[in-house]
Amino acid sequence: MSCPRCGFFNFPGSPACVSCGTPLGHAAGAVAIATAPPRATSLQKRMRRARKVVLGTDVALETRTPRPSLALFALLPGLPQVIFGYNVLALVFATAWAASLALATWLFGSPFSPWFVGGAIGTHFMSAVHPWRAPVFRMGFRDRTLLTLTIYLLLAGGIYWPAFRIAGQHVIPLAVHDIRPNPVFHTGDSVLIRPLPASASPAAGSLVAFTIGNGAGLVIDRVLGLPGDRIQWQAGTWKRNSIDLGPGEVPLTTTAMPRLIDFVVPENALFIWPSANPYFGRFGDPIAETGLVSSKRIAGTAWRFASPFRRRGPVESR
Amino acid sequence: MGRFSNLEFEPGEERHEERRQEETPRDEKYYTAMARDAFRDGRFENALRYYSRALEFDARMGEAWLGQVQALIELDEAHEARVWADKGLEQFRNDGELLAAKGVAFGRLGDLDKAMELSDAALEEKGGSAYRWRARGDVLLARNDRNEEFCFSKALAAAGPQDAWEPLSIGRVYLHHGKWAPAVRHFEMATDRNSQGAFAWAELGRALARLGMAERSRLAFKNARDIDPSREFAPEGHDADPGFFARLAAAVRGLFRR
Repeated sequence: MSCPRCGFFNFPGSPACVSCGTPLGHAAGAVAIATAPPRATSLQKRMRRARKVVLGTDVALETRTPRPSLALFALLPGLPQVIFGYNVLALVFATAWAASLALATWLFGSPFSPWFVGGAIGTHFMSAVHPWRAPVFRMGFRDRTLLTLTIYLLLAGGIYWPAFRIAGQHVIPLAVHDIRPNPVFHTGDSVLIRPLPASASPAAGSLVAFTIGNGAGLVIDRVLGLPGDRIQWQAGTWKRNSIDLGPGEVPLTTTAMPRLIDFVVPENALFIWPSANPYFGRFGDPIAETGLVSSKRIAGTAWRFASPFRRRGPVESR
Repeated sequence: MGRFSNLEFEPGEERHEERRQEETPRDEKYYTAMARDAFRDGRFENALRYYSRALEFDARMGEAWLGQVQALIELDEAHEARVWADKGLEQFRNDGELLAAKGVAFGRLGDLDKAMELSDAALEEKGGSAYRWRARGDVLLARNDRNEEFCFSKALAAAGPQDAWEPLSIGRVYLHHGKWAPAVRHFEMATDRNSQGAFAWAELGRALARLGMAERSRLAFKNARDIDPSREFAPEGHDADPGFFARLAAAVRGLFRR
């Protein structure tokens, strides 16, 4: 640019005239214009090349065209990446999310399950947050951080936590150790306990989990008699209300049985035959010794948790 | 690396520049001519610096702005080209060539919708040039659109039947997008029109090597070296075989491509 005083040609952006020292920045209409374009460093070039190889494009998300489909961000991990054309990354996010949920389900009840639930949340979160660098929201760093935090809380607190909380009210994960009410459970099976509503009673023949005190945890066994039922043991035959119990309900162990049992199941109790249960009688529980369990001790009905990802052998029957 | 770190010229270049200075005054026209020569000779770094020098004399030189953006694109710095095109458009609002160059930059970056928008805008602007049509073909190629041939034929027609630079540029576009056969066709057109263009012979050699025609590629490189012994035209380089993992990644990407 030329000096307004002496006319000497100075480089654009010069603070003062090289010839006479007149400050050029204060000259009327003086505008400093950069004439050299920005250049990529070798590291940037290498990173872009690597990104192109991995992601199929070296485009920065800031430059992508905003689309209305961005609203679908929170629905499925990987979907935002598909929208933006990051196909490989979309596959990575979707696979990580599905694998995390599958592992969390498979390991349900084990201490590792929450870790994978966390992984699923994290993957969901990362996938949803990743494209938000797009200019569609025109946000600064602080707003973007707040928004991503909100998304995280919405996902974790609004979807995952209630879902697992609700599920937790209905199921209590339990691993079977050595109690096998024939022919339902195997050792090592996962069991879900569905808590019973206060007014409900399990059906006769169903499996229930109950506590026997003494810190022995939950025991699973079959309900043979409901309150008011008449239970009889006569000549090697079990009867409930004078009707022979079905083969699936017949207790397994008949050793050391008294010759005659005949009683009515009291209110607030269930008759649960101990079968092969080693806890009965061992802890001196007067109710359990008779095969009666207080309704207060019933944790809920028990269901074998059949994970679709886990193969099991054929069910044994004894 | 600072933005001005590349502004120094190599000693040989300076001497060459000094020799020319004795003949012509050192002004924006001089540097623009130098930049144009360097650009058409495939010395894009030098072209960039000469254009910068020209802009120091006259910051409102549209050709220099456009040349810088084009050089950045050729140097595979599309991000910077986009930024610089924006800066140029601040001065030359709705300049068709700059819009087209920005569209090419967006196309190279992968934002194909934006690239198409800019290309449309460039073609709607007044005037017409071979570059706008070449840029359109570049964008269409990036979109896997098969109509790029039409745009390139328009570009060739606009440039004239004797112009050797346009087919060379089109061949480079094809080369960038991995279309070796049409690249060879256009490089051959360029060498037919100007058999003394070392850069065109070297580019033809590169494309032929990609097609697996090793002997013809070797001859093309030999021609390039014979014409300009001062430069090294290597058949291998940064654009050699990308390797197994790059090809595997490309195959995986292909599975998910629309």
